[in-house]
Amino acid sequence: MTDIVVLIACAACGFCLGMYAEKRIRRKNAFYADLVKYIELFALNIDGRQLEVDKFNADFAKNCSANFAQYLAGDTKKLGLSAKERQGLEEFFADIGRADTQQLKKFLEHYRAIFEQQRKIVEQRSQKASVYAKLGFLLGLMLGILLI
Amino acid sequence: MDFAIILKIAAIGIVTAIASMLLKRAGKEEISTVVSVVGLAVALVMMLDVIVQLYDTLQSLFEL
Repeated sequence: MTDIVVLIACAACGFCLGMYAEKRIRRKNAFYADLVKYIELFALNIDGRQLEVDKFNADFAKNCSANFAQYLAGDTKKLGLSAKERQGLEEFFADIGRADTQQLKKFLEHYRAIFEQQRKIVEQRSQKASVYAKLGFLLGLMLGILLI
Repeated sequence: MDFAIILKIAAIGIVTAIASMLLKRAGKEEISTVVSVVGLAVALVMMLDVIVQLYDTLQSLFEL
């Protein structure tokens, strides 16, 4: 009886770890999709409503993923971003709204291309993310078999 | 010899095979190879006790 419990517990732990890894990748995918959408809408905002950055951010945060809204609010913890990605985002958000219209459009286009490329990479990884839950379950099961 | 160890090794083999197949389908062939090697190593380590017993038995049998 104890053996079965240990086996099930290990398999469940492995499955949960796998699900956690899968969710991290999917959240990152949603983050980058929102980032590209943010840049596109901001470019439209320049010619359209011309909202200030803070107001635009507040508006956008109402209709995006929780992670991106969290980032716009200034909370950069637990987003699953690497140091290089954080630096790129910090550079982008630091310089946004500081240039004139033409320079800002070029700036936005430049960063849109960069983030679109990163989004595609993350999207490809996200499509295969379901393997992590299954792998976690199997490795947990293997650990359980070794322990019993 | 304890029958349970045979079942354990069989289970490890099946789990390793399934994990390896999943990783190959996900396009991670290198990790799949590593998982296969790790599974093999785990099975060999589990067999180690039995091999040592066999060696001791042979040694005592042939008075070496």
